[in-house]
Amino acid sequence: MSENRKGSILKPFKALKFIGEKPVTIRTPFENRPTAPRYRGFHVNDQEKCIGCGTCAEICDNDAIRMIEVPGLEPKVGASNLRPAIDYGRCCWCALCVDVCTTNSLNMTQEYTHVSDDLDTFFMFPDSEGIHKVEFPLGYQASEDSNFLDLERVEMEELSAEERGDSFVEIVKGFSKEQAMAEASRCVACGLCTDTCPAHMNIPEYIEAIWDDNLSEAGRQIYKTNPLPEVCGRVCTHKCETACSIGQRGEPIAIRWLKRYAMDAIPADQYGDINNLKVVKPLGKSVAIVGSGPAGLSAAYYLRLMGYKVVMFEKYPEPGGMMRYGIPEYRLPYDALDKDINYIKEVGVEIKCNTTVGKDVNFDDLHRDFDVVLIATGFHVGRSTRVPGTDHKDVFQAIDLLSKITKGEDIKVDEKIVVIGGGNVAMDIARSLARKQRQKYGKVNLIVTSLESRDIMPADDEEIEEATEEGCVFYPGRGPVEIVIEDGKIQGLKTNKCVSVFDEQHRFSPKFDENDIKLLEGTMVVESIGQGPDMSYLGDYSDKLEMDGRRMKVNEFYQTSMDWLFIAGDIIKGPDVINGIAVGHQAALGIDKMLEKKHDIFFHSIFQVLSKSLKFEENCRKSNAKFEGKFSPVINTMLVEMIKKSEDLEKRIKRLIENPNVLIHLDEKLKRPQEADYFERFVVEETVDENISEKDFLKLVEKKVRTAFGLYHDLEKLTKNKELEFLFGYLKDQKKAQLERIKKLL
Amino acid sequence: MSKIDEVRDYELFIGPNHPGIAGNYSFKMKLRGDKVLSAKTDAGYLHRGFEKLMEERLFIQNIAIVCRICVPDPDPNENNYARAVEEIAGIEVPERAHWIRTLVLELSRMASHLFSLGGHAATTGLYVLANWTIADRDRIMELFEELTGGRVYHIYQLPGGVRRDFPDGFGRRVLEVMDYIESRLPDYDDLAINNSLFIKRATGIGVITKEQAISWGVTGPNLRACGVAADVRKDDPYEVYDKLDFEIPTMTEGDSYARMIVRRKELVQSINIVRQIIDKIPSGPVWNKIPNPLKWKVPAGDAYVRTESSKGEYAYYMVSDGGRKPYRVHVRGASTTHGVHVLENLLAGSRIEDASQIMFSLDACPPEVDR
Repeated sequence: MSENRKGSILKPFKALKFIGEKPVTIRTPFENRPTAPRYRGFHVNDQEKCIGCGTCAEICDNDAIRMIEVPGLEPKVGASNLRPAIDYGRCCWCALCVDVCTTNSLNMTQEYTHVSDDLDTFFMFPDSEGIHKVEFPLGYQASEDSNFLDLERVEMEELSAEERGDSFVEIVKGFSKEQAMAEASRCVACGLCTDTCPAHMNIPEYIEAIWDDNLSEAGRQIYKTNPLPEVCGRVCTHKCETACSIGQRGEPIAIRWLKRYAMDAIPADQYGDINNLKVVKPLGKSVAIVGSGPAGLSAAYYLRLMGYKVVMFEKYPEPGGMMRYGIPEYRLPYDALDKDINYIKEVGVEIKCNTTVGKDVNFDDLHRDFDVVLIATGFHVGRSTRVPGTDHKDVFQAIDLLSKITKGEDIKVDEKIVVIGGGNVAMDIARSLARKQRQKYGKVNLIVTSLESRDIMPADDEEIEEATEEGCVFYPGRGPVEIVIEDGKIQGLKTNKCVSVFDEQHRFSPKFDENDIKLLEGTMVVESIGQGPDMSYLGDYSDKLEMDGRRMKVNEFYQTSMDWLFIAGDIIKGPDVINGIAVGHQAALGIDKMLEKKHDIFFHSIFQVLSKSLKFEENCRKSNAKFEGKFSPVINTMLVEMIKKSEDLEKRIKRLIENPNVLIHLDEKLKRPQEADYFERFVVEETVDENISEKDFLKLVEKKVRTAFGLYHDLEKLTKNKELEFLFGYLKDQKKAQLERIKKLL
Repeated sequence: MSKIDEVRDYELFIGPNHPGIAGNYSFKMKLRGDKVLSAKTDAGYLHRGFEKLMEERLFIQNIAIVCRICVPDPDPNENNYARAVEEIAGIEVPERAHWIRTLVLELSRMASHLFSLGGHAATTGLYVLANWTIADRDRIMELFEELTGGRVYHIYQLPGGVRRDFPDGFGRRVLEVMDYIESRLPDYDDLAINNSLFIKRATGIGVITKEQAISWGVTGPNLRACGVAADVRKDDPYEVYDKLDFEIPTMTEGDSYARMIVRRKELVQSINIVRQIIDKIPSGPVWNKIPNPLKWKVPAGDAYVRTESSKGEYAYYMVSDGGRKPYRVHVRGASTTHGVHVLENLLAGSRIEDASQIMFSLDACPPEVDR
């Protein structure tokens, strides 16, 4: 270095010493330079491991990843038929997709050359063989230390076994706001849960709303497909959590508890506001629903919203069916159930309790008095093992005991009890009786035995664990032989070892080892091996109905061969609350389709929805125009501006519909089909009294604007097209501004 | 002005293909014969709207964007971005990650200086040095490839730390490369820096006085070549620079050659820093987990963070409104001063054959100007 700036002429010639060196940059013949082991080259994706959750596409900075349908691949629980395809014209090799992958199926290789003058070849579908079917070592790989996902669940606080052992107080305490938000933040909004949920609830949407601390939005999203969220927030079989993509490597999102948190946090009197009910036009037709379980209630709620008169008939003193008379209070407190049911009543559903169809009311009368009858009476008759001794007076059916506990009636509780059955109902009765035993005797002496061994017991694992904590003793894998009775008193249950429950074709065909005998001691036996329906109320009709095997023949809307008779709940598709709700909702849609002679029950494309929203804007404009000049100047100015805005929005929507660039996207399938009626409801012209007071008018306008806000809010999420997204975002913001203005005036 | 002068006056449009600068840039020059009367920079060829793009992307997605603001020296961008988010969100970074980040920053500085030394010499017609330094810079690129998976854009530092730890034996290979580059420095000296032809070409060219430098807001090696020992690493230490022993080389002449010498001396300092890091780096985790990036909201707040890049003081001002995307990110590119008005001032009165040398000696990075 020459700081004094005295250079040399000769020194540069020293460079001649390199004249024989091999050049570092030119490689002839051409060869690929080997890369570092962590190189971020072309992707590989293990198609078997990949579940098509689309999180990679979600995090991609450049929209380089598109999820495409793979022909021949069937979607299953927890996996869609989509797989990522990558546009290498857009990819920037940042590998965020690798670090966010839920399954670790997506990785990068050390391959980096692709030469082609065909641009289409740069849009590639990576599988495990590499893009050129040439094997390259893996490059940048998923690593546990640097994975972006939160795999651990926020722990739910529960009462300890000591605290809960002798009381029917609810065990699960529920999330606090902080806990719920922390849990909601783990969600990647892949939507696999929605696909799996029988009711297709908008799970990612309500989790998102919880994360945004916008509970009314969460409630609105939940009520779209589930009118019993307090119940489902507690006792749902949460198939969604089985499908959750976070569950692939970690603990799935506690979707059920999040739903419970949202609904617990919303006061009952706000339900109406959240769901915007009153935009319903009475249609003058009526539906009778037999049974007020989840399926019946769900159908009733949606039918009522569509404008039908709904009357429900319930044989017990309170509505709720199995939710009230089957599920014990420590799992589902009656307050929570009542909160849901009261809201359904509030909507205008009439529930006639203590009314048994076939006894108090004739089924024929229902047929005569109502346009449609929906039966959803469930499974209320317990099945017996029919082993010798079951006719003894101290042998009970679980389902009968459970309903008696709910009703507050005295039941027999002995010091030593044997429960037969391995399902959730068996757990319910065992745990209820254990509580009763502890209350009465201060200790638990209860045996649960089932044909199934522990690993294939149908009850939930957590139920079995909690029952064990509470003192129940399990003897799984044993078949009942006879109830041993001496001097008219039960001594116990004689059992054989059950070698296998199912045969090779997975049919129920238990095999026993008759040398392995064990007496399970007890003075009282409870059978809980399943339930069946009692449909004697149908009378002659049961002969007229077409059957499909052992069940009634129904179409996709659960309509029987007699078109006025629909069927829902356990008697057609069980066995849990959420299936009941889903079937009830579907049957409601079918009833509406039949009574109103509708063709489209679902909207599949953006175009259908857009034309509806156009009609809605027109409608708003016209109804506002009628009242121009009738109210005080402040409101009048607002009305005039709203009319102008509506014109502007109409113009925008029309322009978009006619825009050739957007045209192809208009037929784009919505991420999920939307219930057409849901949108239909908002465009119903409401006859407004000409002498309406200012305040009432404002309230009416507010409701419409809020409805529209909700609609655009949903649409924004349903499309992936940027222009449409922008339009809906704009519409949404406009409506939000109007809403705020009206709120100020109110 | 005589008639002959009028005839000899002409306008020249230089660029936009890398007119002696690392990126697309151009000048409108007024010349009289060989003499530059005035020069007007014409920026914008590399304007990709980074600041605006960032407002539309999740906090995590931006780490793939920021590095593109300066191609030869991308890591100060990543570092600034990560530190700004960390400051707003109150995220702790593990000790080891601080050390790794410092290592990455220094390697990046060396790569950029090598690039600049070669380019500078090439503007005087000495292309051999450019060939050498670019080939030697490749050794550092290989280190980056090994550590981060990427050669040019590393996308490696993210809020909470860095994405991956050292691969096995990485420290040893870093030292090997340092030894190699150190051994090459005398070759560079012989070929260009002590070359009397180069000295002649570079002396007294593009002189910035100390006063001018300060009043124009010049930073980095260009300022240090004027005799001001200002360096963010010393003045406002970030990462682990306060735990390292190094000097700030300065020169007083403020001309093209002085700037070359400052960069040449900084290479030695950087080699020294890298060796200290490899020697002292503690073990431990390299990343403190951030919340699920798809849902992550950074609390409302703002932060101003700065680093010393190879070009000078490089700063980010970030505002978060509590949402999932930054509300605003402003990038203070170090080259914004010396890439625009300093350059215009220096070019006026220079000769056309020195114009590209002046540009490269300032080591301006056009994407930093355009953003």
